[in-house]
Amino acid sequence: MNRSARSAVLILAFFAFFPRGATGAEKWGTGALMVIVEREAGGVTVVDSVRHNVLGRVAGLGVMHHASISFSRDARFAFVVTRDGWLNKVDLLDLKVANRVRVGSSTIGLTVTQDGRRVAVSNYDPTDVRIYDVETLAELAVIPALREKEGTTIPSRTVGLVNAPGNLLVFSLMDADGIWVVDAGRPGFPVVKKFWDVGRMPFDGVLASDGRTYVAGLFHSPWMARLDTWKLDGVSRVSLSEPGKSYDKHPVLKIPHLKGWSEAAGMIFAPVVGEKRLAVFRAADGTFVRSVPLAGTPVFAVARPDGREIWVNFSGDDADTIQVVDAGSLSVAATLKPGKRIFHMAFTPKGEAAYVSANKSDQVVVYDTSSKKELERLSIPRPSGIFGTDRAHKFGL
Amino acid sequence: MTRLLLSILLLPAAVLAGGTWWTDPDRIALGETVFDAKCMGCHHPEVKAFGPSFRWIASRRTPAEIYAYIVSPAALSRERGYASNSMPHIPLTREEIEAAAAYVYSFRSGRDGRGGDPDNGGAGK
Repeated sequence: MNRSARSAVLILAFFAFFPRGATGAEKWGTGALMVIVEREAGGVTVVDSVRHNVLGRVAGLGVMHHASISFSRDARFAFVVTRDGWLNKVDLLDLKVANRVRVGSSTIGLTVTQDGRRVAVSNYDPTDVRIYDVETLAELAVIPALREKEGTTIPSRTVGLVNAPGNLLVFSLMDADGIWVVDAGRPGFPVVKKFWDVGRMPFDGVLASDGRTYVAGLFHSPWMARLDTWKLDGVSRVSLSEPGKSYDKHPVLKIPHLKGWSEAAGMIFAPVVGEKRLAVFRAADGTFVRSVPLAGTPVFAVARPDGREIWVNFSGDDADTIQVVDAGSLSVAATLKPGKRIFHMAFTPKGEAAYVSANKSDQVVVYDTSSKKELERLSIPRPSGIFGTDRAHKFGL
Repeated sequence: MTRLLLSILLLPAAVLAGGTWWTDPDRIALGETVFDAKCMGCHHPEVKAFGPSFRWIASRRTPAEIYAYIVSPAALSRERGYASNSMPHIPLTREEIEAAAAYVYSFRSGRDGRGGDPDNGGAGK
């Protein structure tokens, strides 16, 4: 056997002993994964949204009711925060927990800062925001959410935490009617702005896709609180009321989630608390456009990445329904029944497919968004939140 | 006050008669079903969510108080001097309310072995 032949044999032998996919990096990229919360099983399922196949699951993360996920800037790691306050750093290449730390007793949300160096969490209990190093998960700061008012100190749950340009963090104080701004690029992470009496009981917040406008929803006020993060000069009101018309109020069985608030065609589509409609207003100036009547009380209103459609799910008796609102006609264009108790929806990065979690059916249904036909049904135990790794590169998330 | 009186008048016979109706396993099981259909969007049994945990509630309220709160949350909230009430009045039958109250109360610390620290949302760590 000559030298070339021996080399060929050695190469063949190498590949025989080390099959393709021996390391995670050779198996898949992380640019278009869906990380899906298993609400009762304490883990996540990771799906390749190009081929719509399950790559694997990661268990032992904590209480996954209302678990939320953000991503490292390179989309290699998912930061999974659980209801019972565990911050897990999950490696999406080998599908293992790289690190975890307890950040609270009741945690509601998280975000990775613009510079990608910090991950911040918002807590209900204790009432604070905490900041961690993304590499080590070492705690860097605890920011108590307190308001001094009329001689008393009011501790507040924190909600609507987002990252914003300028390496800012913005969040709302649910029990103190405030919005705070933290400079995450300065030593000590100072709170640089505190806005009070923005409206009664902020329950969530969202940042516009360009990173400029922060909007907080208010449980007890018929408007939204709007903050211009370029100016940071005050909070204005965006009315959710339709001039000259009122709508019936219904029991709120699930609070609308604003991280799903939609921007499309220059408009914002906002679910109204306890009313069967989306309020549509101009993104530029907050002018009310019209209401879109719906089948039930909305929870999420999520825009397809191209902005042409908004997919809406509901609470209560209509939880099995999705309605698709056309952004051109501002009317319902399709009604879907994917399964029992629809919890969440997410689009692939360019929006050709939609992932829908049917919690009570133990399935995630994948739709072709053009034809509205099913592409796949994935068996996942009690799925809830669906988080695409494309969120790694979006402001706010 | 009218609604509060109404809620007291609506107390089921089992509540008014006393006893330990809230320990009935069938009621608690039905209560879990009611929770799953109507309450899970705002409450978690053991961890503080938008609403307080059931463990927290059960450690501070009697079964009859829990029942009355489900019947008329706004009135009870006013009675207790809370700044605001976020819990809606949810249309339920008497049987469902009673079951939901029993289910909530079943998370009382130490009574049935569920354990945990209500001030820590029952997280226990």
